[in-house]
Amino acid sequence: MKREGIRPPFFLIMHLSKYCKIYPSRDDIDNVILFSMKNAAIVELPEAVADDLPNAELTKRDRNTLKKLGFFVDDPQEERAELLGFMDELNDLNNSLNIKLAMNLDCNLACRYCFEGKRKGTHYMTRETAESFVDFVKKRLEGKEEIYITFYGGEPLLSRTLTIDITKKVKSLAVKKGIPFIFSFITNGTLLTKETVRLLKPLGMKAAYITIDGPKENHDSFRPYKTGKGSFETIIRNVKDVCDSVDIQLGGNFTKDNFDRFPEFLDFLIHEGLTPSRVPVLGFFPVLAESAELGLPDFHEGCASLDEPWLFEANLFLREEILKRGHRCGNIAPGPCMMEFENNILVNYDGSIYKCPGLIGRKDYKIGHIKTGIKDYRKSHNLDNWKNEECLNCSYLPLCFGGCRYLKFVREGHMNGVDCKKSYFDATLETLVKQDMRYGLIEK
Amino acid sequence: MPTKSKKPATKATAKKKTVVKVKSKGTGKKAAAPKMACCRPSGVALGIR
Repeated sequence: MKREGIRPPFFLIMHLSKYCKIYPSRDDIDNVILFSMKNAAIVELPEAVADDLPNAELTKRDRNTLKKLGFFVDDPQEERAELLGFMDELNDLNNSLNIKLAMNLDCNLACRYCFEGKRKGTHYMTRETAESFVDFVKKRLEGKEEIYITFYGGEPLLSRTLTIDITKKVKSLAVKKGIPFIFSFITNGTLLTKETVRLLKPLGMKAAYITIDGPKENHDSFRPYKTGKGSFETIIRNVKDVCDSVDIQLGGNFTKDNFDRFPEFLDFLIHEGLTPSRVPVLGFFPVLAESAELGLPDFHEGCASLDEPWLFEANLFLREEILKRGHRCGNIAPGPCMMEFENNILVNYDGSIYKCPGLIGRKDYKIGHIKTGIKDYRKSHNLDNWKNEECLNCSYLPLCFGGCRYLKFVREGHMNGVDCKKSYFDATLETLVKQDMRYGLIEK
Repeated sequence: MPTKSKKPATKATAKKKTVVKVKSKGTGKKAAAPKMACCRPSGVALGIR
């Protein structure tokens, strides 16, 4: 007969994963929850058991559960090796060609904080570059199971005609290869009319990510047209017109002085019929401070670090306000920087290639061109910045993997070292995980 | 009969000691591959996918 509920012999003793956290349960004062950073798994168990978990008297079933979900590991060195190989494994699993394509660096709005700042102008992709881009995609399809393009800018819909031409040609490539092709837009929403969606949806348009900075008064102050006129009403009208045809995700950028007004906007959305069933996903983010070299000289309210207490508060507050109204927002799970993914690139309007939207136009960080290919960027982009003792011993590593290299660059002018998020996660993760549990964002 | 009375007791003891409740099985590694990660004009990535 199998023996249950006994202390394991020494050779079967497991080790608690380095990459998990223990928090008090929200439902039972005698219990705690364990959250795994490696896969966002969550279990609940008595605090008395959790106090000395590897030596606790557990049933075989419990031990297997904890092992299967990654809370128990046979050997800490094996887990360390697993983390060191995490990104290679992800790259092997990722068979999607994922390209962000900046159609231009022009815009019909004059946002006060635009991080593209002085890089913007009447710079548009030419037909010749568009042809070269399609050839570039064609050459990179071997072994790919999906093509995903995010049209970007500037404002990509200022290049609607060329965008349609590109999507027709890429769709034809995908059909020939027998793989799906989908695309989306990161757009200010002013030109995303019903007519535009009618033309684009049959070609594979799936979604649009639109920026609205909270209530009308705030949005119009931060994101006016170049003429100075507010853009809020046009965007809301377009969202209402198209949100039943394609997925619309609304995002907005807040500052220390205005984040507390964003709930007014959430109430406005529901009042206008833009309920969670029509606009399921929302997300608000702090405005980024771009470097003086390229940023807008009159804007000084942005931040270049998550390590600010007001940001901890603002993020938790806004997330709660979004979730309690029934919308969804990003959940807590491993989320490495796009620079780590071999198949994820950004192509600029002139065909030059970058690894991050923030680096557009910074010649030192150009990694190639659609006509000449991609060079090795592992060192220039410091891809292994997190492979050091401090990061490998940090519980938050799988959520962070060295943080945002662009933020590091903006702050310090280089990407050497990491953009450490420890203070941010120390201050927020428990609440974030409990929000995910309370509002059903977790994978059951 | 002694055997019959013993079996349910053993089962009850084992069941009682199962203390780990799974709240989330988590995501597979493939889910970590970004579709949209960090592509937020002007907004700072918050470490939330």
